[in-house]
Amino acid sequence: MSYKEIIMRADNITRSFPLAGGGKIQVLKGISVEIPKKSITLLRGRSGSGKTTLINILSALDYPTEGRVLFKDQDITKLSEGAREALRRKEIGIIFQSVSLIPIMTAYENVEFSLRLAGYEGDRKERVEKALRLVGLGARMHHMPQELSGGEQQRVAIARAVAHRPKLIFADEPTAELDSGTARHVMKIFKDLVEEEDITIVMTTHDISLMDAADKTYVMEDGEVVKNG
Amino acid sequence: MLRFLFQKMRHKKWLVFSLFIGNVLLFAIAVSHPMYKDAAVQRMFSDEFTRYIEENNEHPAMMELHLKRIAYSEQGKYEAIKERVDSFPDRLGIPYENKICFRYQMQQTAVLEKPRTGSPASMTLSLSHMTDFEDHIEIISGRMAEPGIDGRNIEAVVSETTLIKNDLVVGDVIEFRYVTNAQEETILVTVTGVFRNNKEADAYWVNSPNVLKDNLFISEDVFDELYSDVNYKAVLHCYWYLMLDTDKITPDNSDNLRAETQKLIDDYAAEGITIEKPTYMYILSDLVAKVNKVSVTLMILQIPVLVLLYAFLFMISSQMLSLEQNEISMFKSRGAGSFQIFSLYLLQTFIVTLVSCVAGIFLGRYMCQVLGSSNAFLEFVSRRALDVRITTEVWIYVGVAMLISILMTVLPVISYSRVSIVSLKRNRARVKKSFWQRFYLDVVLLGVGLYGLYNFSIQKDDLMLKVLNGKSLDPMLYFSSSIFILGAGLVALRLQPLLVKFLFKIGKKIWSPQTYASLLQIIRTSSKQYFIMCFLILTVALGIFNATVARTVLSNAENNTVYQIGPDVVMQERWKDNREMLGNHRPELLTYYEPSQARFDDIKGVVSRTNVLREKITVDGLYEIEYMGINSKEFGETVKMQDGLLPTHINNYLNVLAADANAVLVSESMRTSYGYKLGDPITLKAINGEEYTAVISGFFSYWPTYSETIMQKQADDSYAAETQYLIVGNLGMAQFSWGDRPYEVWFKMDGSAEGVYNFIEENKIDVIKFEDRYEEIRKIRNQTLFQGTNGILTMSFIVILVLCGAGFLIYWILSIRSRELLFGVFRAMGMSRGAILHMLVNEQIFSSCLSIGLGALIGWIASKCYVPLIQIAYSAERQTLPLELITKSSDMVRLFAVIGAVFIICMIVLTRIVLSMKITNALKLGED
Repeated sequence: MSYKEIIMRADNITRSFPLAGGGKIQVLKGISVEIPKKSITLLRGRSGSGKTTLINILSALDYPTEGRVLFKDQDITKLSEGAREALRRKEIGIIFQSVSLIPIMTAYENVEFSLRLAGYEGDRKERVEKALRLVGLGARMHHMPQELSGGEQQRVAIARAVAHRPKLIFADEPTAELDSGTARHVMKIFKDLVEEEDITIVMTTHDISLMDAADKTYVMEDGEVVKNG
Repeated sequence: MLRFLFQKMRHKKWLVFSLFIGNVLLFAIAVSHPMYKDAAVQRMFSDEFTRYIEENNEHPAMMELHLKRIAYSEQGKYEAIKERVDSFPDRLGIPYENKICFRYQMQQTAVLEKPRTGSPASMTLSLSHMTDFEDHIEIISGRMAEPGIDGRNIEAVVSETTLIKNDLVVGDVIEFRYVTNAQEETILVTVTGVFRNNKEADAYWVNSPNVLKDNLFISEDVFDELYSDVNYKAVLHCYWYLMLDTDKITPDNSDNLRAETQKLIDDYAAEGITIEKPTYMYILSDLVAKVNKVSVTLMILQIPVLVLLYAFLFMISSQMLSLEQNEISMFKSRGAGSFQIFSLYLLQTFIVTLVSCVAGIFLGRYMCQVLGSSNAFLEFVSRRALDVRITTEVWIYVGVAMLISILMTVLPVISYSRVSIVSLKRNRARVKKSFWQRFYLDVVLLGVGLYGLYNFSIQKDDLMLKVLNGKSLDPMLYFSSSIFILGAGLVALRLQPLLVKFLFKIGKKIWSPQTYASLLQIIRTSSKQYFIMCFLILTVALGIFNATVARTVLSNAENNTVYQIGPDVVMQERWKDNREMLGNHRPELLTYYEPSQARFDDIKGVVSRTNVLREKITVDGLYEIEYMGINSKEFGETVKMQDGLLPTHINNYLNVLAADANAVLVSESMRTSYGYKLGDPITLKAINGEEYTAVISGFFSYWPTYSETIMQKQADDSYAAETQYLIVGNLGMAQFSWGDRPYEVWFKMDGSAEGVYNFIEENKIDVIKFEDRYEEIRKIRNQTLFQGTNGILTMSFIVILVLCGAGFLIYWILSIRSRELLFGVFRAMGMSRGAILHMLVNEQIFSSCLSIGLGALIGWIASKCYVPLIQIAYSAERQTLPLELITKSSDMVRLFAVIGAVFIICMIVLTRIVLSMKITNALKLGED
């Protein structure tokens, strides 16, 4: 594998949650990861291994108990809430496991909304249409989310995540609810995105068959990275 | 199943609590109507009887049975009737308060045993007796007559009138020529004393002792002994005065009482015995009409708030169901039948309804007490408590209310229980138009309301006549106002999304993300919001409408009364004159002696005082017209004239009078009917024939006490409008030309007429006319119709405030809770908490605040259109002034303060929800 610039680095991340009956549970036990730029990085593990918690911390949705996350030479865990929000609006795109579209907006409006949030300066219409064509949904852009299939919805979510040209896209189990054909199609889109849009993608999965699509893989087990490569 | 149900209810405790509150209010309102009606009607009965006694000094429930001319041979007749009279109470259902038998013999020739010089040769006197008469007299001279016959001697007492008329003195012995004892000796009656009634007002004295001019009252045993004696050959009259216990006459037994009384009258008439138609027959039939009027009016006033309560229950129930939609669909998928789901909700509803029913009945009882003490809109005073009972009617109301409540709560279940998980997802896809929108039901309702308005407006005069004849206002009138409000509300609801859409369109490019999202939220989920918006529009509109009705109706009645009285207090005392000297000859010589005015200077609490002469005079030898003579300066200081009635201030009119002693102001009707013009001379001739010529210096349409037209009862009991005329001139000129005539004294008081009352009492003024504004207003406020109206509208208003607040809060909190995942997504996309709050505020403004604004507008329009018609029911007989719609800003402040408070609470709750929301937690909600 050729040398790649590191876009994000997490050092020694721990995360524990208080338990209802007192005490706490340690979900992440000192994890360090490096995300190479313009690549697909896979976090793989069974459910409960802590990969969703890790991706939440990396995508500035959650804070670690200890450790730091460096992005563009900044520890994003130390940033103000406002700065983290701006980060999420502009530099980061997030794709969730299940439907995360805004139900009152059409596919087109969903994508356009992320542009509005990011304060996108260019021609919004053109950009939205391009993003939707990229995921193969040019024809159904004016449908409401409920009128689309699960795969189509997920593709809209991807289009929305990439439309405002973020540097980093985090995807938590983006293919979990899709059949294997669609899942492969989504991975293909991811690969194309990395090529065409100068984007870095971090995704979690428990599906071993997606391994070959990744540039880098961290295998997680019980809050620790057991293998990387 | 029961355990599951309770678990479910605990989980949704707030919604269950709302259902409970809604139901409690519902039952309270529903039962308060029959309870209040029952209590108010009871009070009306007792008030009416008391009023009758006070005004007529006569027992209001007396039946008079006459047994005339019982001849010597018909002795048995008296005994028979005496027994039959005792059975009347059983038949009528009312016990006697007093049963008086007044017996007297036909007048017999009598002579003084020892004639005095100058005494009449013979007299015609009656030996008389009245039941228990010794309890109702006091002896003012001599002593009481002893019972028993001593040989041929008996004793009697007489009234002052009898004494004077027959020239008797105490101690006189009177011999009855044809009345003998068993030994055939003539009877000698000794007058032992003179009596008078021992109480000023005593219903016992059906005929006052003053009119009993020829009666010698003897004791009962003497009368009976004489009567049963075979030698007593007199012809007797018997009068039974049967006074029923008015406390026992209630709305429940009044129908029976009337029917049985009529039967008694008919039965006895057939035997030739007269029973006078008792006054209570008239009082009761009058009362029945009044009661019906009150009952119908109160009922229609309550309907809108009941409808709102049902709507509230429906809304809460639907909310609950939509939250439980997933669970219901799950049950369906696992094989539960619609019926099972339905019965689960039915059971829940039943439990809630039953518990709230008990609480509601208690609250209703309390509300009735409060109603009874309502004095004006949102105003209460302590007053004699109402006697609130739970009658059968109350249970019927409870039953019906419960039935509809259960129906309203489980009705939404039917549609929800049919939906399985598959169709649920499908249904969520697109917003459907509501059925009322598809069929233009809103436009139809608005049309019906307006048609009703139009229809009633053109029959306005008919309405007035109906009310004057004791009918209640057509319920359809009030109903059509409610229909109008509902129709207008729905039309507004149709327009509101269009407005928001328009806003969205014009700023689509420039809206901030949060404004964009919130406008889109309103547009895309408008059908889900229809209910809360409709609810808000209706509550606000109805709140304003009710407040206006209550305020206007009462203030209108009060203003008219105040106007028709003129000042605060009007008093006219009897003047001394030379009538007695003149006898019936030459009335033109009648002279009055003006009493001293200086006495009035001492009355406490008088701000100012003026003399006002009011008399019918002959104008230009042609017309009999009312004349009012005033002293312009004091008149201006004493009367209060509402602004806006006259084109300029009344003082300008008074100045015209003051400038010229001969000037008069005349009513506009003098111009229209008789063609008088400004500057015309006019001769005014008083009843004593004196006259003077005045100059018409002004016209007016309104003047204190003057009504241009009044509704006058005609000979055939119908009503017709009659034009009134009035001439106002200078009192000094009138006195100069006509001589002294008795005038009224008008007082302006500093808040109470007590000083005048005390003055009259202390100085024993012989008052022939007295009017007290404070008392009249108190009377109006005490009228069951006004009191009930105020009470019910106040209650409705409070309920509306509660519902408006609760509905608003519940709807929004639930709506936000159900969108938590969505907010998680927004937050993940980088929206700040502030932006989300901003979004919610936007939503509030464009849906709730807009609805409230529209509601206020509709309430105002409805008031403008319908209140003038509705108030006819309250003051048709005294409407003189132009109607003024009264909206008190304090009511509006209350209404909007509550809405504002709820809005703030809502925002606090929303802020807390948004602030405490963890993005990761919110998003996890979406993962299961």
